[in-house]
Amino acid sequence: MRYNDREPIYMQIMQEIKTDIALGRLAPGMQLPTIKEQAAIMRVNPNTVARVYSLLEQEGVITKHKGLGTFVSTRQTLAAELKRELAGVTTSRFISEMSRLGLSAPEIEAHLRQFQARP
Amino acid sequence: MGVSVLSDILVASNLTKRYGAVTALNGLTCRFQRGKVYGLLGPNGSGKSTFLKICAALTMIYQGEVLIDGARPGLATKAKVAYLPDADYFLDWMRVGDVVDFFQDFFDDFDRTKAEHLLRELELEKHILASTLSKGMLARLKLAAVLSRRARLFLLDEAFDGVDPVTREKTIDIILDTFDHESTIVLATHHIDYVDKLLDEVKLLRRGEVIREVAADEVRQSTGKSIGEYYLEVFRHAKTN
Repeated sequence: MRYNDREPIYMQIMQEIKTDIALGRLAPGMQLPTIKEQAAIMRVNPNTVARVYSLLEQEGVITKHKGLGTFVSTRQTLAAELKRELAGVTTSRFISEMSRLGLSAPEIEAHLRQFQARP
Repeated sequence: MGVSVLSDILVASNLTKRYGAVTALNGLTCRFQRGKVYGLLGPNGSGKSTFLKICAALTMIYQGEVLIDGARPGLATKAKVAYLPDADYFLDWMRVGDVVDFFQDFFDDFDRTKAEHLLRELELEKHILASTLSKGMLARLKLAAVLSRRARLFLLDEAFDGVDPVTREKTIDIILDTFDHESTIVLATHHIDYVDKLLDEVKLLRRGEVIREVAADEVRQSTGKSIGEYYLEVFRHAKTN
């Protein structure tokens, strides 16, 4: 995984795991690697992974079962929820970039339509 | 003098070290907790190596205080501290296998199985003379020897110097594999971009003092910068003062 320099690593890893769930690469109920394994896979400090897991657990995205491991939540609506959340993040990033260019909401909308209309 | 908290493995208070007219450490004060990876960052001559040498009990004359697990650096602390020096320190006659044997004789916490594994992983052959190894292979050997200990405190001085990209990646993997919640790793380095995904905490040294202490995530979150960019900004600013 490539990391950017702007956002904390833990946030980037959280987004990555959420994306994997949203796209079905991680299915409901699937077991996640242990903290140590995940840290080795992602080449980051295990404390960072521990933070990611505990935040994802707070958000109800994953659940820890003592002695068994960490699993993707079995909620069937989870992928759709996360897709909506990630789309929201991407949209707000897009809107704020466009606003920085001094564009109003109708102008941004016009750009979107124009883009869509392209062959 | 600071009060030692239970979770601190290393506490330095008002540490001063002079070499003749040169002040290497100038009242350095800081603490290191168990279960964290620290980046000790600063330009040449900022005191990083001197500080690590004192912690490794290689330099016994200084002012101020260093406590490792509550004890001053000495014979007792050597058993808990694994130190990777910047300098080369293997004797001319030593083969790779001798270095491993030497470490095993010297340190009770030496893990022979791990050492054998690391030699294979790093493609180090036992019959080769250490003095004939390339710079990169020598760096690998030092790393394999030091990280085969089950120490509490790992002090790595420029573990990434003269290291090619493949060795760098392997080094990172081995450091991650060695680290656990009971150990502490201190990485003194110029190669900030190599280590910034490994760090919990960053300490910036300048002229023998700690001038900034910050959580690695905090740097990104509050400044939107990488640790390397943050470092450059701090030191650029420091120069004009």
